Amino acid sequence: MKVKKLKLLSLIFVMLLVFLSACSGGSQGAKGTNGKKMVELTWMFWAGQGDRPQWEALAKKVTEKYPNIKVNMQVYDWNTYWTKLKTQIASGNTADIVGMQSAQLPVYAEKGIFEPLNSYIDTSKNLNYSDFNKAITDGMTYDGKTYALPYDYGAFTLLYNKELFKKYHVPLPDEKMTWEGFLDRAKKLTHREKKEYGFAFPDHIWDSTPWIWQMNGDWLKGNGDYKINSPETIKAFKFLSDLVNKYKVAPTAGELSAIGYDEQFSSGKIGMIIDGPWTIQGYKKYEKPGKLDIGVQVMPKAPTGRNVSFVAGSGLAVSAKSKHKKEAFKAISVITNSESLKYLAKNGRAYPARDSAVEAFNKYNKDIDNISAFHKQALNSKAYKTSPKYAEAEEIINQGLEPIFYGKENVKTALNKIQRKLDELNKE
Amino acid sequence: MANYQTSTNSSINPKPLIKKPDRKSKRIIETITPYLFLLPNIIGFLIFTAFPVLFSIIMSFFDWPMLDKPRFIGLENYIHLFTKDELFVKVLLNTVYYVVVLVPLNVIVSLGFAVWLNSISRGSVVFRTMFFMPILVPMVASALIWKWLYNPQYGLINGFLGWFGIDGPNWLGDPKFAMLSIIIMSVWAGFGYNMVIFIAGLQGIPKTLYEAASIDGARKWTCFWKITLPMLSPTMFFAVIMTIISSFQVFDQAFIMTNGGPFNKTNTIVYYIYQNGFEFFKMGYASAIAWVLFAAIFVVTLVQMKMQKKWVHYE
Amino acid sequence: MELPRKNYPFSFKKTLNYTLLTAAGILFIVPLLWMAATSLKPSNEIFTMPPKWFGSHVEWTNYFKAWDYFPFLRFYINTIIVSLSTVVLVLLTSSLAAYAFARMRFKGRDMLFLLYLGTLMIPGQVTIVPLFILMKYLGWVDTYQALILPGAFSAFGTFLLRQFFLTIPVELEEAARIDGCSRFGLYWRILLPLSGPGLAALGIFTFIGQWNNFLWPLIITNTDSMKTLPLGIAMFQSQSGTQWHLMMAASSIAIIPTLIVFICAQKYFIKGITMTGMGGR
Repeated sequence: MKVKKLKLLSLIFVMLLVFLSACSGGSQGAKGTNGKKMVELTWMFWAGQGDRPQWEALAKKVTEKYPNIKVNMQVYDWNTYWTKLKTQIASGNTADIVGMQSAQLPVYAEKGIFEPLNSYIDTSKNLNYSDFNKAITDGMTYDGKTYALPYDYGAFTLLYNKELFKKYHVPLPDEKMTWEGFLDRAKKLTHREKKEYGFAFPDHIWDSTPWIWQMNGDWLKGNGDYKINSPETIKAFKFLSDLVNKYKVAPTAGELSAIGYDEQFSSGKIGMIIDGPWTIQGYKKYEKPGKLDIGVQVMPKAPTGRNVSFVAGSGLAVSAKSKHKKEAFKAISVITNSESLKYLAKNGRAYPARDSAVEAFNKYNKDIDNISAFHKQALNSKAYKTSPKYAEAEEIINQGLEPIFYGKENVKTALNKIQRKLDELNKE
Repeated sequence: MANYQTSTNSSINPKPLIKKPDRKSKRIIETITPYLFLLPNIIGFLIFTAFPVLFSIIMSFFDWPMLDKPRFIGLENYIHLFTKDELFVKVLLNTVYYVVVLVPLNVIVSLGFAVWLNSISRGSVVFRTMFFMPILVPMVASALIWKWLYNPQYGLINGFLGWFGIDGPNWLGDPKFAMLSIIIMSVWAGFGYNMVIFIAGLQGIPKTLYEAASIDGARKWTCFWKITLPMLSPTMFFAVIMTIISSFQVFDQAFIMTNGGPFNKTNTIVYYIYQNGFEFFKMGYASAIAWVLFAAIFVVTLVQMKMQKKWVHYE
Repeated sequence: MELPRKNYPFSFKKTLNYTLLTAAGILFIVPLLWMAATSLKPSNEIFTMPPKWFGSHVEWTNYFKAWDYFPFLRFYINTIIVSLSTVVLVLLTSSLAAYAFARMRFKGRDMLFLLYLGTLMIPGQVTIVPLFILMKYLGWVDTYQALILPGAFSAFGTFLLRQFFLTIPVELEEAARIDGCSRFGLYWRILLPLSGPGLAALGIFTFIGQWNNFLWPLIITNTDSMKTLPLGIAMFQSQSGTQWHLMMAASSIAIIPTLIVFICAQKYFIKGITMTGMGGR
């Protein structure tokens, strides 16, 4: 028994030593094919294993085009990516290429983490920068400087469950639908005894933004301060609050805390939701047995006649501390070129940031009704702008909105309370 | 041996077993031996634990936005925490509520099962494994499962209550029940640790003690109070202290299941630390909160140490 | 004539006892059964309402898919290496230190012990950044050392074993001491063999702790060749939602080694009784 134990112990230690020595010897500075020194870039990115092979294929394309550049991916899941990124930056250990989302960008841009790309873009020959959708290149810009090349984007748009509309003989949403028509349809779709609702929406500022803008309100001032209790914004929230509390055509925040709006929509209980094209892939999974038959339509028109929405998206930035910024820019321009984005669209990974690749996305999703509504809505949208203090402001606002959608506080009181806290934050 | 018994009056101070030999060189060896025993642990401890902890004290006196250069601000973080941060008080109270309810529940459940399992002759391996299995499940998985169990309309728990005509609440969504739901889930997810510690402790109790008592005609219940509990008290002391320390640091449940909501009812100190550090980029402030948490746990632990002479019985 | 009670082939009390235990056991593993059930559902039937225990058919392929999803085997081996090495180091260093704390008197002992305990009270969320900076300075980012060593010098383990040692009667050591046994001999030949249950408990905790450790491996590893299982499991989450059926399948596979470790360590619990050496076997 004792001998056995000793053997096991020594085995473990030998294994350990072998692995330790195996991993400490790295090889840097290998030569490229044409004798030029090989440049190895690291690319920090989020990906599930489902879409990872596609990104790796794009990384290989970089080497095909520039044989002396090799891109090594460091992949993390979306949820933990941000923690990892911050720790790396805090210790001065950032990758050359960094995945970045438009809503997060200002935080990092303000601190000078990323290299401004304007001069690279201006001098690049084959980039065809104007092919990118204007709203998302806007989203990748902070304080006049562009920090990333986008690969995907999307406008928040109306998604609906065709099956439910058919079941209750409700006319499908059309382009002319107003807020009133929307409410009317939602009422007809709602059957609370079956836990079926016409609409579902999480009580977050992100999801409320299109409605606020449509009423001509906004919660972010030009100087980066937050303002949430303007009369326009109050009106928008009043409408959303009435959907939940007065007409009861949407589940309360309490009900949504048990199962999220997206999961309820997936299980066929919700008539309409607002979501971006990046979620289509997830919802399509539930289509096989004919349960979920999705259609897309532009947002309903507010009393102001507007149905503007917001655009958010993601792209690739170059670290300001990188030793190979030129090569990194070359690499990201390959990963975001029209051919690459078509490839991503064809695989259903992303709604392409370049107009020239949109057709590939629509073709791939032709089984979804009126898929081109995403493009129509995108042309009628603005970038979702944030400020360096966004994370904190978002937390304050979302916490403050909760009582509205729990039906515990009226809109005006709640928004005024939020504003008081935001004022403190603005002062900091 | 006799003096060992009385040594319980000093908390962490068992008396040496053996009188020192008179020879000088032996005395030197005696003096350095303890340090030699400590050495392997202490080197690693200093590098990988003490250094980061010290670093975090220093951080707490800085405005450190993580992505930017730190700026020394003295006690400002602490002052802000106690004078301006309303949420902190709420978060602190939430955490205290969690600790006060969870720790006794956890100890009772784990001790109960340990004693129960120790009393059966056959199949204890199977049952022990069954009760320990919740520990093995990755937190992301168990959090989702419990979200399903807690579902107000379709969850198993409310379905079960429905049999008795009880209309169960919206567990995680109702501000009144959210923290309680997290506590119940945490007892399930964590009691296995203490159960194993108690089983280990119970096995160390010499059977002769029970035999002697049964000759004296003592009943099972008396044996439990007069033999099991006192003999187990050092292990219990450990379990209670560790459970308190770790439950003050509850994080995963709030992070995965509720995001601190509804109405911040399940926002706990460490979740708040995470928010400040990794979401709001205030690492200095987060460290300051951590040190306040440290102070709170430290005081509670010191009280425990002082109290132990009243109930902990060292052999 | 009276038979001793024990020899009755059937005892009502015993049966009741076992029935109750079984009921409690099943109640406690309901969530785990749900995990297993979800791992065998087709992907489009995860969120049916009301929830169902079984899908329209049993989808065994989830397990193959989960296995192929990331370099599962590599992550598995990494996790085993990290967990086992940590256990060995923790048992060794903690028991040595615990012996000193439990059985010897030396200057600064109480202070040092409090310091040890104190470090447990600082949440990892604020020490992780300094620790990462340290690793970067040492050049250990993305290595096994970095995954293993921070967990290998455990204050928790020292405390646990110290308390455990205190419950072991000192008579045996005293006798051996008189026979001329050295301090190390007392520790190695007398105390350790008596501490089977305590060491087994610490071993289990350390193993499981490392096996399921998430935040630190996330921070310290960059390449797939160093990643561990929890990171793999987290990868089932993506920007467009979580693949719960695959995640549950991966979780089910992932708990097998910890289950084996637990069952094996049970042997030492039982051995502990016979080893207490008090003649009460």
